[in-house]
Amino acid sequence: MLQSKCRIACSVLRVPFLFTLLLLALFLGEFSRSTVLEPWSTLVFDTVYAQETLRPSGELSVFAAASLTEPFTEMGKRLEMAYPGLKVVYNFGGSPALRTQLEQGAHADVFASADAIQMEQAKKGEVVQGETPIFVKNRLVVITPKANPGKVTEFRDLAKPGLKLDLANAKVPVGNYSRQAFSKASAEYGSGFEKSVLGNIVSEEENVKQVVTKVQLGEADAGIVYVSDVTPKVSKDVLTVAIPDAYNQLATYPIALTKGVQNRAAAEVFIAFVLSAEGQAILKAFHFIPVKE
Amino acid sequence: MKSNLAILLLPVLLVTGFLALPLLAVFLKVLPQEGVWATLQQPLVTEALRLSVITSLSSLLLAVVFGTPIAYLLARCHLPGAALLDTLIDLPMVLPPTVAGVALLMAFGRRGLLGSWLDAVGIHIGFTTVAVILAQSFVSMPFYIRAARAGFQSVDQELERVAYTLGHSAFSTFLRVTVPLALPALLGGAVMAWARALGEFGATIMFAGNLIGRTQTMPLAIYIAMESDLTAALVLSAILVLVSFSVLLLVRSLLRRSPFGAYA
Repeated sequence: MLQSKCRIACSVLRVPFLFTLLLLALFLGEFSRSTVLEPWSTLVFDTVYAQETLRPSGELSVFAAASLTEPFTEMGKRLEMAYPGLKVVYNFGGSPALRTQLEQGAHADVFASADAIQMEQAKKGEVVQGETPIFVKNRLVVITPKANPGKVTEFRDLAKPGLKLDLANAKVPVGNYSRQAFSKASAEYGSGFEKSVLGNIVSEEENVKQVVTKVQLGEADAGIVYVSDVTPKVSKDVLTVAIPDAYNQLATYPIALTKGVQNRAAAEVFIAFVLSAEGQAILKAFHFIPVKE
Repeated sequence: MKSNLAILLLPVLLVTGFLALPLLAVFLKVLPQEGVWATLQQPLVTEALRLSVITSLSSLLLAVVFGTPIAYLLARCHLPGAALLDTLIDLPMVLPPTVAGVALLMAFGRRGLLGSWLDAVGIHIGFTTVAVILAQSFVSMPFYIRAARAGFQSVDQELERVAYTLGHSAFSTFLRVTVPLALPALLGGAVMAWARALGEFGATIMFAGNLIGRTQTMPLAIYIAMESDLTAALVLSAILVLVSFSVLLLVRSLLRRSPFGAYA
């Protein structure tokens, strides 16, 4: 009798015990993470913004073009170190996908697009507010797998018959810029160029990073991405082929506060940081073209 | 007694509402949209429809042709390692489609285990309609095999023996006795497999890519259209809901009328 009571008590107690254990583990995880970062946090980004009266904290949600993944992640880390209590949460994706999510009611504080078109549509859809400054520019480049199975050595080789070309779809900024480059090049290479290149498309991806992956895996013979997408990790697997300046479309990235901004203080600090000298230096380090040197 | 009934009724209402409301919403949103008819004639929609029909039926055909013998074998013979084979066949049903996508790329991709050999002899699967069918077969075949195995197991082996003694060959017995008796299960499995193939998204976009008329099936077209043309996304969704609903209903009524319906 006593034993059975004991057993019941044990099994009843087990649930809260496990729960406490889980909480403890989570807490320890958080704790160890913050202690690791501690020594850095006083070093960076203490100059301008830390003296301001508003100290951003809480969660900041940033929706940004997929090509911004690396520099924005780095910027988020630095801001979190400079402002303990601030947590930057990202949603990286194709600019049209992000705009649609905003229009369907997704919550974000900041929206950064890879072209003016998507930002204009976001304005029309009344999901962003205020200024939409251009904060950085980017250049296109052709990438091929390291083995270069399609033997692409110059831009016009993209028209080779049977080449497997992977692009972002025409709504995605990089896909739109790529198609503009083809149409510009047609003036010199002949109108057949654009037609053959478009005929070589084997897939239309939903954001630029998927193009990178398809080429990295060797599934496609060539793809067009931003110069900044060829990170050290990617460059191990791919070769780059320059697009002549005359056809290369300069991508321009606007940034804005969203209409439904909830953490305004943090959002404003984030945008200011992106436009600051340190923010621009980070973008430059990832091969973007800063708008302010 | 009355209060008991009310307690039962509440979850019924809640669940019915939860399942029906989103599906109803698709129709309520698509009907007032302007240019539904024009949208139906857009290449994005027509090509996706055509491709989905072709690929899902091809995967179904593959499932029936290759799945039926396997299901019969699993139902009748005690193979060594049958449990392992069983589990392997069930695995794609519980795997996330993204895992299927990665796995297919690693096997049939250009640098994949088998893909690199195929590439060497000039066979490219990636970015083709064949890749779509492979992705769909990978995730849908288990649904048919599972149902068919259960169907064959439920057939009384005495009846098969009687057919033998009456002079039917093994194959003729299979066609005239086993298959008709297992038909409800076979049909049910086929419909489930077909529906799963029609809805396949994750593995397709990862392994086959996304190009109108070649690899962009209806689920992919819906995903892409959501970003630019909500009407097209709604129209395609409404079509998928309608088609799926009518096929399920049709199969149900067919099974009820069939003389072997009792086995279903």
